Amino acid sequence: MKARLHPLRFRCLVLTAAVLSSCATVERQPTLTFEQHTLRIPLTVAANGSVSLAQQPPMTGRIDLSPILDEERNEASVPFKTVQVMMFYGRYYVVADGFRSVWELTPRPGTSTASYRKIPVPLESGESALTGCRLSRYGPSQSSCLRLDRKGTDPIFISARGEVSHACP
Amino acid sequence: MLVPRPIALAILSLLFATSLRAAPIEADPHELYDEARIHLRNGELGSADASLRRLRSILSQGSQWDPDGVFANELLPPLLKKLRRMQVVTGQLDAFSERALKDLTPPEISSEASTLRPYTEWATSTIQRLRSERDQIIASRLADPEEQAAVTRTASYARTERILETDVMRSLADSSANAAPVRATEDPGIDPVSVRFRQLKRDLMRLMMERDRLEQEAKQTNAGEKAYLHALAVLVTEGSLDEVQSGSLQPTAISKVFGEFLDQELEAARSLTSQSSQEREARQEALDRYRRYNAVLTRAKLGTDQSRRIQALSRAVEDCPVKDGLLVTSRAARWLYGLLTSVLALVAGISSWMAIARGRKLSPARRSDEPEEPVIEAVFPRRKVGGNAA
Repeated sequence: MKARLHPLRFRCLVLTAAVLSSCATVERQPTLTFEQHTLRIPLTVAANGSVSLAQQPPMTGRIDLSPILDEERNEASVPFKTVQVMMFYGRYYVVADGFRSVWELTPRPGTSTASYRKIPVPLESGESALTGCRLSRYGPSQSSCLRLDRKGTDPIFISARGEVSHACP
Repeated sequence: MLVPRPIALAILSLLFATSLRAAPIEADPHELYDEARIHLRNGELGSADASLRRLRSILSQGSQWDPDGVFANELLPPLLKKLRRMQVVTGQLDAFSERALKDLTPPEISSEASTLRPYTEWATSTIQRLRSERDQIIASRLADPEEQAAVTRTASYARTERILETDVMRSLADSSANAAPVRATEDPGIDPVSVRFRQLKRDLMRLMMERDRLEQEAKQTNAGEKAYLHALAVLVTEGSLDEVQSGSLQPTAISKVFGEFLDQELEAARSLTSQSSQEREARQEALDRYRRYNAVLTRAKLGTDQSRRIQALSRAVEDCPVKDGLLVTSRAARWLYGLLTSVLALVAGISSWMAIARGRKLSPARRSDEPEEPVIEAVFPRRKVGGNAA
């Protein structure tokens, strides 16, 4: 008797699940093309390690770069007076002369915070830090790269996924 | 001597790589765009045109510098239109200058002329007419006040200014100089007028020279004042003044610069977790200097009193704990240690001197006590000269 009830119970469960799934509405938000970039923005670093985006209107806001500056600072380096910021596919990239990496900031929508990560730049022999840095957007439309030029070496490219390479794919 | 082919190839490739590495960074559209905007703002139309040409050539090569055509389609065209508008206006200003110079014909001296009123009226009305005509050219072609301001920095506009300020008066002077003697010879009755006119002309020329001299002096004074302000600002900020900031200094801004500098120092002092005694002393000496600077600036009425800031800085320095390996933390203690060291050195010196003196006294006695070294007298038998001669 028990062996007969099992399939019946199973069928009931399947039926209930089917009914419930048909009742549930999956919310699909429509999307549109939205490329979000800026030209490079030179910003002056305040004494507390933050930069004000209002230096380049119409942008406003403030980024606290002190954790990044602390990590980039070493005994030989002078204080970072200016940084270069560029928005690329909605993320912000920060670099300055004396850095050893490019830093990627991903803003968290609806909050006043951003996650950040380091993208180490392969340094040439004899090169202790980046000098003459310049960020640009480069490459074909919709799959462009962030190009980092610096003195004395070939440019490197950072893809929209944050991968570093010597050519823009 | 022939070099093997692989070695030659290696050398060539090395040279090629070296030359590539030394190449400067290629100008990108953003740089050229910024350059062109700055040149336009400064009224340097030729340089702006050159930058825009370079930008267009980069973009026309289909390079990958402009992924979405932002520069080609959105940023470059308005800048080019602006440049064209300004070029049209400067062209019209040049034409206006040439026309104005041709038309500068002062009125002839009439036989009844007893005063210079017709000349001054002519000069005034001509300058007013030319000025309004010139301003009309600019206003009718350029609606944007920024573009109007940029045109006033061009060479064409400067030329029109010269016409209005100098050339009108010069033409008047030249014309009257030529006409007056003729009139004087034609009509003896006009001679007194001619004499008076020559005198006025000399006065006019003297006044123009005086004006030029005063302008020159004013420029020199201005430059000197700027240099003094810069030096003063550098002094009160202990050499940490920004170059850009120092370029636009006003007399009252010295105090502001000084205040900002004190704020920075205060922030730096508050961020300190500890300091050595030497550092503390250096900071206190710096504080004394800041007090003197403040007193001088306040006395010269070059801004507001910064005593509060200096006081806050002094408190921050005082509050920062002193940590270092030395026991000397205060000036009095240091004096004590110095004194102790001197006394010890003195004692050591006296001891050494006494030891030396005693050693000198003992040395003759010791020599007498010392056992005499055995001396062997050497006796050499004399040869008999010629005795055993062969």
